[in-house]
Amino acid sequence: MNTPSPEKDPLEALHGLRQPAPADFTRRVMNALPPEPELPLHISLRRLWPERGRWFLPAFAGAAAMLLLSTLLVLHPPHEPSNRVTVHFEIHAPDAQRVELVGTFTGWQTGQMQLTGPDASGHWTTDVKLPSGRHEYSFLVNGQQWVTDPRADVRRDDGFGRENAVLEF
Amino acid sequence: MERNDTDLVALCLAGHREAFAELVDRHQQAVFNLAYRMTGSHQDAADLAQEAFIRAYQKLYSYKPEYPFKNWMLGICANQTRNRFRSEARRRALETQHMEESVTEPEPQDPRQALLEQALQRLPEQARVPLVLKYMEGLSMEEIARSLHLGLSAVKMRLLRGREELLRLVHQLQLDGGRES
Repeated sequence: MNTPSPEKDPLEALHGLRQPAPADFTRRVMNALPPEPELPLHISLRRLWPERGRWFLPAFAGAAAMLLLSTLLVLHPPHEPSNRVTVHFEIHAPDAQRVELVGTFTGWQTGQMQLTGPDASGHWTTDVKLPSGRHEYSFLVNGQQWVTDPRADVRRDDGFGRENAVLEF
Repeated sequence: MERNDTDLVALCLAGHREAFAELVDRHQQAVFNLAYRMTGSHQDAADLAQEAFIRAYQKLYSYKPEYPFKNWMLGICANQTRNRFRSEARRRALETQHMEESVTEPEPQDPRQALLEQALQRLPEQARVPLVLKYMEGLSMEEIARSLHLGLSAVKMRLLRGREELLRLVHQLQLDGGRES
């Protein structure tokens, strides 16, 4: 029995649209090159290092700075990461067959967070535990239509004519 | 024995300037193609790709061998081109220029590719560049993020939305073509 071959991604055809560079491109670049690459900063700085036998003062200053930094870290340790917070998402879509949540917390991958619904009033809901920070998200209705959360206080243009809802806590 | 990119960079840094020509030969198509997709003009793309190689040569000491030379070059080209064409007015002028230019250029044989070509150039730049790097140059999402100095999440969003928009534009162009004929 023949098994159907997996459908080819239509965007694979983009590879065939690569534009070749002009025929004399390499010659043009080589003619315009500077005599030699620029000296990097670390090599330039190395030249500033004291001559042999005069390293004591910078070494002592470095050791003192490290000691000070270590003391500060012991006295004022960095804060522990805060706990995750449960966030309630809700959208009114009485005619939808399927609603999902897509955002920075799903890596903008679809098919990971489905909302439950619709309830008697036509609402779809889900609760998601998110780490504190800034998150952008959008609802995807029926796998096709992107809908910005109408309850979001902050929105951000996504550069494609739509907006993402922004959540920060 | 064929020398790899890292060997060639080392030769350049050791004073063998001619080794850079081999690096240009190897990566000129990828760099030129990206510049062309960002500017829409063969002439501007040739100038910008050339500037990207010159910039790379100047900064050759900062190249890290664990990172593919091609990706490093593409990142330089993308950032340099974006900086140069930051002016919105200039970008609009280029888009108009490209639309005129694309009329006179020979179209690809496959009509589906012709539609794809038109649709690609109509995409916003922020979606077009990640798509070019992924589908034309074969970079992974992590490599695109690193080349464009973007977060991985931003790259994923741009690829997702860009892909949807590209397919929508192709469909729209098909419908428009069907109505005209």
